[in-house]
Amino acid sequence: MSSIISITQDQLAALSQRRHEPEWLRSLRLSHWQRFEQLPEPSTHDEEWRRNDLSQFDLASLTLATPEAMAVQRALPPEAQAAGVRFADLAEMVRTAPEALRPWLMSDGLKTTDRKWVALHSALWTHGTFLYVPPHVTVAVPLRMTCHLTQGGVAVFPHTCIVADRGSQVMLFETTTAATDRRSVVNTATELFIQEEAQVAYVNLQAWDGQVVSLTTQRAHIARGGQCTTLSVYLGGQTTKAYVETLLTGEGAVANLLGLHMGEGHQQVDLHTLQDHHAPRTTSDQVYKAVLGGSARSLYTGLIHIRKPAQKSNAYQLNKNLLLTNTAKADSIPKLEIEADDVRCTHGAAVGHIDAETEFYLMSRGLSRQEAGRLIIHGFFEQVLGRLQQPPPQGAADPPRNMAGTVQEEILEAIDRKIAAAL
Amino acid sequence: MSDAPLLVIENLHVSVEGKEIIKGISLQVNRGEVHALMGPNGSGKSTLSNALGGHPRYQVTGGRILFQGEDLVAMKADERARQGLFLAFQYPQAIPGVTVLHFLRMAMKAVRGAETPSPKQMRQAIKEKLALLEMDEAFLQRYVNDGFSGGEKKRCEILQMAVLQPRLAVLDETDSGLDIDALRVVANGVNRLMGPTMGVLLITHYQRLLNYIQPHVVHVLMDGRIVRSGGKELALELEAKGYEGSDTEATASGKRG
Ligand SMILES: Nc1ncnc2c1ncn2[C@@H]1O[C@H](COP(=O)(O)OP(=O)(O)OP(=O)(O)O)[C@@H](O)[C@H]1O
Ligand SMILES: [Mg+2]
Repeated sequence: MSSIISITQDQLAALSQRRHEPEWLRSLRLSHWQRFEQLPEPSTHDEEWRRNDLSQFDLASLTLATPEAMAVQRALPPEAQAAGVRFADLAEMVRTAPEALRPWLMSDGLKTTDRKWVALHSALWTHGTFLYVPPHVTVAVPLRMTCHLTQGGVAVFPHTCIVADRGSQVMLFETTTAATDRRSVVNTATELFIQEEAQVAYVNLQAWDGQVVSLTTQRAHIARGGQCTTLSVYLGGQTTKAYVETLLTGEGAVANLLGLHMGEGHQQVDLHTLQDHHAPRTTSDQVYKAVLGGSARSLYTGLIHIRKPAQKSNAYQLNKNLLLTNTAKADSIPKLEIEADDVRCTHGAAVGHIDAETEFYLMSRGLSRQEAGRLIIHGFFEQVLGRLQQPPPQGAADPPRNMAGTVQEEILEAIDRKIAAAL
Repeated sequence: MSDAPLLVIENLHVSVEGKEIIKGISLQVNRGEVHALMGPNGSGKSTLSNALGGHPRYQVTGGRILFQGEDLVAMKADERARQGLFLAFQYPQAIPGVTVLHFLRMAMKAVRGAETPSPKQMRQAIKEKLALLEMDEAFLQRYVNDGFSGGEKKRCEILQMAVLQPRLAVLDETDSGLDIDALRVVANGVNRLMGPTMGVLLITHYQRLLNYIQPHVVHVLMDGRIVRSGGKELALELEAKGYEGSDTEATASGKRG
């Protein structure tokens, strides 16, 4: 991994200069680069990488993606813009309003991780999006963003930085796709800062094509009274190695952590989740489900860490896997580190196959085997997908329309395409 | 084809995992007829029903089944349903995460194919059947058989039957687990749905169901064979005397034809 796309520190500095980045950003990139150079190389002797094929992540033969390699689209409704919401390209923000980025970008969020490839991401990020919602502003419709990778043989480093200021509300739906002819490595990172009493829903639908190997980091910081729902849908890519980390740093913070994954062929999803409770009366509820066909594999490692000050906290964790074939495989490794004594904490994991009796029941109602399987998978995922709700606008008298509805439908459509390939 | 009898079973043999359970059954159900099938636990009633439905684990090793003149054995379970066969299960399966409404719609679409009614018409049809079975609309939003009581599961089976309007319904102990009011409602529902073009094979342990649904013929199944067939009075007799002795009378009734 260190034989990186033959880039030197000087070249990185030059790149930053070409992009007209301010001094603080350049030195930020360089400090991450230095960290990257110092951190040890991942090895299959590490527990974290034990089950991975490191050659898949090799960058030596790849070139650093240019901005054109990935098409990114975002839509910001005029009302939100008028209310001061920023939803913009990161490079553009660097040119036009760098000071708005400074407190957040690649700051605490990613600095604290000691992963070599996260440091690399922070040094090299090539694409990015910045979302900022001012205090007490509610964005009434889900914001949409699509990223489409069109070049193969590249290393791409897309970055998303989301800041929901005090008491604000927003939902972001990010879709990533690719149409490439050669292996690419996509090293993404998403930082979420949920300030006091803010409510954020972040949905990430990953549907890379089979040439993509992805390394994903997502870190959410939830301040006092903040609420965060994240839904990670991983459908594509040859291998997806993802770290989804949630830090409940303020009292009463709430996190709903949802995940849906599907694999077929030789796809592999390797997930590491962290529910890190720092403050009292915090709640995290995590449900991850995977459906695996072919010889697909899912590895799930979920850590619940409740630190000493986090008394009266609740943490739940559930990982369920549905296997469509006898060659698919799923492993779950729950880990608990509980330092506080007055907490509630549960975890569970299950692996099962489609039940032949259930399949017959559905077929006896006229559904084909495929349709029966599809319905069973939909039902299996419903427990996760159904929990995706956009927070109701504050002070709304009528129960609001479920804004998440269209997002759920779109995810189901993507899942259906995947089911058609897997069944 | 449409002149052919609704269901003809000829010398049917069925095995489960290599073990023969149905050992030569012959039976004919005509349109407009209700046949009751009674028999002790383990005699093969559900095996027959599963074999009719096309469960892949139930192997037809001999004889044949003609449904409206067509060879049923050659069809997969879903095709049988599309041809108008319906099975009400003794132990209906739960499908967590799938609502009754969605399930009914999927089933209607699958069974009706090109003649699928519009979503609005579907909703209307489903509402009517709910009313017929004195069921609450909230039921539609529950997950299929997930956490249902025994009685709710059975009602849900009949609701599906009502919505799908099959030509032949095989009801496997639909009366078991129903309280007396529910039994009346479900039986009335079946009677209302039953028409001159439909046939019913009613599997039951209890004569009381037959007070509500009048059978044309009652069959007694023992150890994989029909040992007696007769009118409604046979059920009363079984209730009084039990199955003991039915075996020995088998030859007599068999000869009677
Ligand atoms: N799927 C199966 N696997 C193994 N054995 C089976 C299976 N289905 C039926 N059998 C066996 O076949 C025999 C008949 O069972 P069946 O369920 O048809 O009886 P039944 O008449 O419906 O009984 P009950 O009145 O208890 O419902 C029993 O010995 C049963 O154990
Ligand atoms: Mg039975």
